Amino acid sequence: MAFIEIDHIRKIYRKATVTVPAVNDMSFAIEKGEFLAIVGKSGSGKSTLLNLLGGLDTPTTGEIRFDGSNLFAEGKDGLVKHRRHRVGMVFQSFQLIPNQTAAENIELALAFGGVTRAERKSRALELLGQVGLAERADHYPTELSGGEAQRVAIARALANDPDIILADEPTGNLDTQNGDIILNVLQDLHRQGRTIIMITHDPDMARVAQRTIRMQDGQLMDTL
Amino acid sequence: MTTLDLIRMALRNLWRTRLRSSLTILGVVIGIGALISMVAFGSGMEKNVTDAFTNSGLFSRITVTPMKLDMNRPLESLTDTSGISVALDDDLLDKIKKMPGVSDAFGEIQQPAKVRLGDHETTLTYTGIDPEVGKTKAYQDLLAGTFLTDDTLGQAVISTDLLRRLKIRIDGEDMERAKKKDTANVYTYVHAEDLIGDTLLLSTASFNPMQMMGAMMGNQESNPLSERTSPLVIVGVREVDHDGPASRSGGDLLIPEGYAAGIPSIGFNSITEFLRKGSGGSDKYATIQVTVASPNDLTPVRKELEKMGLNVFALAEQMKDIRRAFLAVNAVLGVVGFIALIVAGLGIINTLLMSILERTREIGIMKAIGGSEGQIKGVFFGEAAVIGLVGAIGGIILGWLVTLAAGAIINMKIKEMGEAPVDLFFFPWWLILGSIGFAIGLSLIAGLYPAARAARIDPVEALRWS
Ligand SMILES: Nc1ncnc2c1ncn2[C@@H]1O[C@H](COP(=O)(O)OP(=O)(O)OP(=O)(O)O)[C@@H](O)[C@H]1O
Ligand SMILES: [Mg+2]
Repeated sequence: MAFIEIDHIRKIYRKATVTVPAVNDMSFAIEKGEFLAIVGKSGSGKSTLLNLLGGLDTPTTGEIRFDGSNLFAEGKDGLVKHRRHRVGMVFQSFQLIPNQTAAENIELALAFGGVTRAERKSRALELLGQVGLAERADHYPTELSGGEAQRVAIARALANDPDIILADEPTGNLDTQNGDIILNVLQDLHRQGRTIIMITHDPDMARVAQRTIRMQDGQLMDTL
Repeated sequence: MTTLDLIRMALRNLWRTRLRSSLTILGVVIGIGALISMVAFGSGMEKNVTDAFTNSGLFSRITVTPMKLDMNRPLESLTDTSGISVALDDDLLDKIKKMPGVSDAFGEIQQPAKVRLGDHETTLTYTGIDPEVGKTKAYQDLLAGTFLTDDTLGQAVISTDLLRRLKIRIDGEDMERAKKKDTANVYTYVHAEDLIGDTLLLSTASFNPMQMMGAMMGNQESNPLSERTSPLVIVGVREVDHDGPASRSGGDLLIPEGYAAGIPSIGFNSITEFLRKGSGGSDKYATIQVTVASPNDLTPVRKELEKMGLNVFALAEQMKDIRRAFLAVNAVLGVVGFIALIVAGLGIINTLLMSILERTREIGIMKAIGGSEGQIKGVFFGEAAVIGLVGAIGGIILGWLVTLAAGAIINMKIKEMGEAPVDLFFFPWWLILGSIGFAIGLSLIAGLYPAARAARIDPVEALRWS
């Protein structure tokens, strides 16, 4: 039994007469502590797959098992727990709440995770320290560079100490220099034993991964 | 995520859109303000009326009169006196005094008479009353002098209303205007104190059966009715407002009961008494006033008296109807305020929906980092609750200021008319607490739909927004 088992997963969007099989019958496994890269053309279904792994979306058919148990078996409560404690998500456009400071963005995730008010502040500063931004705690997202914002987003993804980091083109909005910094952070997290699943367009980025899978038309094309 | 967290978040989000938030809160403030001042006005009216009754002491009072005639009954039943066999005499008075729950009882003699003071005269029904009664609350309204002091002397306590009929008005600060209006100089203006010691002439008619015989035999000189005049010394002047609860027939002229018993008179002043006379039972008193020890004794004592075949009237029981009437008035006033609040509620819904629309992406983020549907609902409920709470507090302050201003303006007019100022508005504690609870409740109901809608937002869709 692998850590993550993707089993005949299918996500079909229907609009009027048009059906779009965004993810079309994929099956593969991910090992614990693996650094997996997902590549593929635009519209091939990469984000859809990642959102399913993150419990943000539910499949039309199929299962995703984490440690043998189906993520979608327990309904909404199961998904909330999964998002809260098992995975941390990082997005191309950072997705920080604009009217909250870097620290507050992280504190919100900690609050959802059930951390007491007293502990949140110090925990948020600690996490910012991990990504080298301790001194930017009170800055608002608009006051941060793209690279800095993405590091705050990674710190937030780590808030409730998840085993898995899901990153959807984390460097897509960044220049090479900042992209490298983010990649380094992700590699550090991988070295700490976390499972990293990262979507990327950049073949150089994919090179740091232990395994790369290529998607096309919602299906697994090949593994590199 | 604790409630405190939710409230902090709510405050923050409201502050972010402070203009919109304050307009929404203003809607609640106006709604609550309207509701509060309306209900405070109704409560004020009710309180003024009930207080007037309570202070008059008439609440613990039962008035006993002989059994009323039923005019719908056939005529022959008038002679059937079985139902009205109890006479209002000293025996009955003693019996009533000894009843459990009765703290005191006194009889009142009432007779028609003519009174003259100075150049003017008028007719009235005077009341012979035990001077001891002066100690009760009902007769604490003396403007000058004392109550009756001696049961045997010819004393009189007169009312301002009687004086008015005798073309005398009591001088006071508010009389200047009245004097100016009285261009024909109809009234004499005196101080209440100056009337003490003056003599009032009481003329009563008496019936002489012998003269009646003479008259029937054709003797022109014989008049079965003779008039007798008794001089009474005014010892006290009462302020009797004829619209108020203290107003009662016979209250315009009070004389000692013992003295009244000695005044020859026709002996009856109502058909009832006339018929009762024929059946042998003799009423000494026109009414017996019973004071109960506590309001709880009122109903049992009243029932007991009714069982004895007496006609009973208790103002306190009429009060139930008055209360019910005020409940209706308050309900109508409340509905007006309620409508204002409904509008405020729609404002809250609108604001929250707009806020959700703007914060769709934020809601998506919250879901992605572990926020549950319940917590997201909580965020919007928190905002609704804060709007409600702040609106309620503001509304109470607004309502209070409005009633303060309205009260001051109305009382200014009342003073100009020469009347005493009144507290028009009353804020009972239940109104304050109720409106806070109501505003928060309404806000939460208004938040119900927006919160549910926020919770249902699909995070994948929401995050695609930018
Ligand atoms: N809500 C939706 N309704 C209809 N079709 C959708 C919906 N969401 C995604 N799709 C379609 O599903 C397919 C896969 O989309 P997805 O976002 O997973 O692609 P992707 O591989 O992440 O692309 P990119 O590299 O551009 O981000 C696309 O063809 C897209 O148009
Ligand atoms: Mg994508």
